[in-house]
Amino acid sequence: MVDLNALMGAMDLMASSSNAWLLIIPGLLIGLIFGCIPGLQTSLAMALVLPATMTMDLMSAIFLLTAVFTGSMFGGGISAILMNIPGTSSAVATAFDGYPMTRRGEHGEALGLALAASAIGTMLGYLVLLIVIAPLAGFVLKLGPTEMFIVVLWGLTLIAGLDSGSVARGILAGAFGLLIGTVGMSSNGVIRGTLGVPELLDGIAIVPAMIGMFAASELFSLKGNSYIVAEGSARRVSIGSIAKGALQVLRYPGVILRGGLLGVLVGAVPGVGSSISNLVSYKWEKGRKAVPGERKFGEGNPRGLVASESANSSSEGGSMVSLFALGIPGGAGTAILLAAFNMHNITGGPRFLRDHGDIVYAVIAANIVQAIALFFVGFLALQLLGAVVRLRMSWIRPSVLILAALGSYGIIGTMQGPLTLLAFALLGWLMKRYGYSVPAMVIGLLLARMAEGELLRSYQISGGNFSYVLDRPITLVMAALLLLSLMVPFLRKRLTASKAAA
Amino acid sequence: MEKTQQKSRLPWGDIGFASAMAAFTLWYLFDSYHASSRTTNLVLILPVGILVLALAVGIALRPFLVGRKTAVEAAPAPTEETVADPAPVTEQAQDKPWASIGVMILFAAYICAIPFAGFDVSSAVFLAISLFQDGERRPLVLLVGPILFAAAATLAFKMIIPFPLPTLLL
Repeated sequence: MVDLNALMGAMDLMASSSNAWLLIIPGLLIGLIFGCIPGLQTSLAMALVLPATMTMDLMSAIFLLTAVFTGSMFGGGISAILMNIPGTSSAVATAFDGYPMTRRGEHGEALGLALAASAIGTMLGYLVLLIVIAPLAGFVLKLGPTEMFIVVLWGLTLIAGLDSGSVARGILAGAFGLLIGTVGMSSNGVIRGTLGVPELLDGIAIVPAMIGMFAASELFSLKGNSYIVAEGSARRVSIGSIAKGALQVLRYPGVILRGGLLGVLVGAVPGVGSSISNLVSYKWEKGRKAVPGERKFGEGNPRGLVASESANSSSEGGSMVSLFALGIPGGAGTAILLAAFNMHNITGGPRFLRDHGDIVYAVIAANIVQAIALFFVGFLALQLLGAVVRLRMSWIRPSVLILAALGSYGIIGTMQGPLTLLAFALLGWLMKRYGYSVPAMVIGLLLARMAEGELLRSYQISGGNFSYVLDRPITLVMAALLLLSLMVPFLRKRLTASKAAA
Repeated sequence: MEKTQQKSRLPWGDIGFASAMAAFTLWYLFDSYHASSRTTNLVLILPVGILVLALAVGIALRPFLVGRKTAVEAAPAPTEETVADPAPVTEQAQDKPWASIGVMILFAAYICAIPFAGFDVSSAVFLAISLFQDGERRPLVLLVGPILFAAAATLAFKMIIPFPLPTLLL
């Protein structure tokens, strides 16, 4: 399971990289600040730090970048809990129960709970990675384009299913996102739906679109409220309430374990993990038997918050599998890590694990230490970061909109960013108003290019012959699971209806 | 008379939005087909486009087909986020769309003003007008607060982003 020689080599490497350890705390702080401000994404934070790593040795560069990554993964949850605006797409499900807890004045507990779940989830993710990286890498190598396409569809249907009121509107939102995500020049050089606007050739700017849709669904509707938290006394974020929340995590060992393992598994699939793992875990936990006396999911159930945070944090460990084993970045964050490897003349891919096992294990071990550091750094920084709930709503709404406009400009570098933000803000408001799932649309948008690429590769490999799929047992099993997950909401409705009739 | 009442209570906003999505999809399918009718170009767009069209047309026509009562039942189902939102916010968004539309118009004006007034001036003006709209009447807060915030945010982003930021004064 674990390559002991490589592990010993990793220990030597870590012992000789004393400067690298000093970068963990600044890295975590940068990540926390960027993650918690809507508009400043993980990828932007890492991209901005990347040039600074050019003069560093490889271990220092990787330690700093992964610390920013870890910090911003939790930071995204802070704005999801306090403002219902996920700082990153991996914190979407965190808002489902985190924000209702804030509205109830339990923001301190929610932040503490999320912090502890994140720290344990990150640690769990990397521990699992340490043990299973070699066999898991072998499994991921078996996934062909048909399997990858099914994985994308599975992710989308899960989100559609989360929209418990109307599955049709959920699927429509996800499919519409997929469609809009293909606007621009395709991999074959065909230009579609750009209306002659050159800025659209590279497609819709996804990060500004995502900020616009999430920000719109909350900020445009918040006019008139004095504070995020109605009760004056509840606006204080005390160390005591954060500690109380952090201790509460001990009540949910099963939820953390399930979320952590799901996060690693889903996170290991390139391009899907970080956005989907939190939703899969949330959905899984929601489908389990209700604990007597607990709140409903969506009304501030701590179980939902823990499920989401443990899964999105552990998916970071999972996303490293495809980076180390395949050289394929699982998302924007790992893409920047890959760029850092390239800057240091190391090429990711199947040979990477074999030739540089010591580096892989050193990165894993360092991230386990970072998870522990995240708990303490986050615990102290939350007081400062949580101060946002003390602000008046009349200030927060325009201020966050200004930061979102600045952030969307910062990602693209032209007015295309703020204009995309505006267009998708309006679309997001309309979708929320008429009961369409905003997360489903965003995930569709995020995965469109990948879905088209995988489907195209499947078509090219099979020569358009559908019987090709019949020779791929993994595809068939995954397709069956996909159909089953589509049937579940209908079956559950029928079962409830027949029970009511009886 | 009864028929007129029934017509007036149809969810026109919902129907209009679903129809707009259907219209966009139809246009996008035609545009993509004209760009290239090869399978490699339409492999994802065509099936997904047909799915979107079918669902959007179904949602738009449903109120007419099943009658007003069912239409009301079939109208916007709460999403995970709206469930998460407590009643006051959601009700405000549903029942008083004009307040939200006012905010959106102001935000649109702010974005459109950036190329002319820069992030510094347009952000300060946008913040001041927003505060005034929300009932703030203290001249000092309306003047100093937005200027300080806009200056701090603009300067911070000027330092951290790798592109030149459009500004008028800073």
